[in-house]
Amino acid sequence: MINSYIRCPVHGFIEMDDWELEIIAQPAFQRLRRIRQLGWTDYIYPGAMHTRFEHSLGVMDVATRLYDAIAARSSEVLKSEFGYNDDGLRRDRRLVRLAALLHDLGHGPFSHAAEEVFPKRDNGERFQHENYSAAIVRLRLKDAIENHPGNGNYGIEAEDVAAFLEGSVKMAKMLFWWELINGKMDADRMDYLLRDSLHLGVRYGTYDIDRLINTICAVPDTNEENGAPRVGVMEGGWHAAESMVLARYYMFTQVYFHKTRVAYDYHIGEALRKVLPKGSFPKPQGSELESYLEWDDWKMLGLIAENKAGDHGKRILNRNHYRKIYATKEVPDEDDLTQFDDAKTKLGNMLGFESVAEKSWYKVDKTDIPVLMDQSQKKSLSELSSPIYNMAPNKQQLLYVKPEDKDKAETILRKST
Amino acid sequence: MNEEVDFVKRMAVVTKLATDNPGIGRTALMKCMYLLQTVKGVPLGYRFQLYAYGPYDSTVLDDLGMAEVWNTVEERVEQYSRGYKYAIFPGTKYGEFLESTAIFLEKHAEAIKWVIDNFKEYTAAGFELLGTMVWADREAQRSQEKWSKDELIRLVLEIKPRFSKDQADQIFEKLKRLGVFVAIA
Repeated sequence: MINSYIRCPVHGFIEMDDWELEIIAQPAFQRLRRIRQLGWTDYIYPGAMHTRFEHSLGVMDVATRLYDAIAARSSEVLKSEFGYNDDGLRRDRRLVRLAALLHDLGHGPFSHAAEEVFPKRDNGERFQHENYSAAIVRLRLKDAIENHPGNGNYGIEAEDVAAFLEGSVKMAKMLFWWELINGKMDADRMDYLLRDSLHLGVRYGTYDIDRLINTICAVPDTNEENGAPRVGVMEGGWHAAESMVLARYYMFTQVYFHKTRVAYDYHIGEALRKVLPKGSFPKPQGSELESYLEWDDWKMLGLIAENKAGDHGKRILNRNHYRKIYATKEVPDEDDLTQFDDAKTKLGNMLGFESVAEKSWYKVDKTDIPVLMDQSQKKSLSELSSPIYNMAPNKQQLLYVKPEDKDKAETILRKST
Repeated sequence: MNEEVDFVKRMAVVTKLATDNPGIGRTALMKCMYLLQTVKGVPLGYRFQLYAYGPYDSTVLDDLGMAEVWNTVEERVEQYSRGYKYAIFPGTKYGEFLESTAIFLEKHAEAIKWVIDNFKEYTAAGFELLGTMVWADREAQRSQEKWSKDELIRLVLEIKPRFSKDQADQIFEKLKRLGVFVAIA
């Protein structure tokens, strides 16, 4: 039952009920008000002051619209492939809403910039923000999720939401819906492209979301006897899907991988290393999680203002970032990489840091969205769309130096060419 | 394992798989990379996630895309009775590229041979199923849970309901024979 509406600058009124409001009211969720969506991007685009809080509400809204559209349009596929009935669809709709709402709960200060400072598991793999989101759901939101009267008819457990957020094998048939949170055309991506564009004042990230929702569906795998259905679009929607992929490409090149933004992600990572005990965040486990939740933008801003974040903190404070000195092409060939290595060698100790586009959280990938053709045949977007087919992955590599070294570095690189 | 892996080394593996198993599909490539990294410990640096179609990381397709740009592989759309598939073949520059990355490839030659020899007959859907099984095993290891064979197969068949229990059994036994599992009894 809908009890409240929250006004969203992108999607208008977002509906929610008492149960969801109770979850939103929890301190672990309110913390997202203190984590900016795009870290220090406001140093380049001053409007980029929006937070993970409003994004999370937006993702829940978009995920619900996508879910409802697929459930209505592809009910036969969902019933025959996964054995869904109406009750099952109603329950999983709630689960998808909760997972969408809580998917970013685990972000550290300044969002993705913090991920480089996450600790590692025993096997050497670094924890991801999804692991923190799942841990927070298990340890801090269990009561709000499981014991609210709104959950009476669904029996949803915190573990269900956590497993969904981690992409666990235990999700079973729910894995199909995982693509709505973490796929090529997911609610996360669909929201942040529009939201970031709005706040930054750019138009690169806009696309026709209504047409996408109007055509999204479950696409059965007609190519394989035992293949799994996937989230895709009907034939009439492939141009809308194409425009979203292109919007993401433009946002990547113009915003997310902007040379100055990349520098500030580096500085905040190093500043965090300086102030964190042992140089990394606590693990998403037990009492360590409590310490983790104390970290947000506000705490970090305070430490930077108090000059406790070292040289990188000072650079953030004074907007005195490292400067890009050398870059390969977006799609480098072997010669470009050789020249890049040469430049790196010549810079020697002067090199501040290097950045690789493919390691960016927002990297542009070779997207393949399934399309359900009018004759019920499956095709892929890259087969239909010439721009998508020809889109090469961005593997650009950049070198940065301190601003005080820039002239000297330029001279060294100029001499050697 | 601290070996630094960049996309050129990953492209080398893509090219090697296309050379030693010409016509390999995208799904097979994805799952071979998953097996190489997860089972054989080849340091590829991917971050796989589980989907209904098995473990997946879009970076694998990026690496394939770059290999196409560098002409070390060539991808063709091939029609067959049920529909179409992408088939990957060595490109015009595969020879010199494999030569220039020979040190890395030789170090992992045994693992690459293992994945081709043991899995090249599988269809894309078969790869999805076996990839999901390996994922389930590694997830059990991560969460320090003990699952029986029956539990694992039940879980995997909930994700891949179009497979029969017999088919899942066969793949399970093959993976067990190959010593792939680390957590399943």
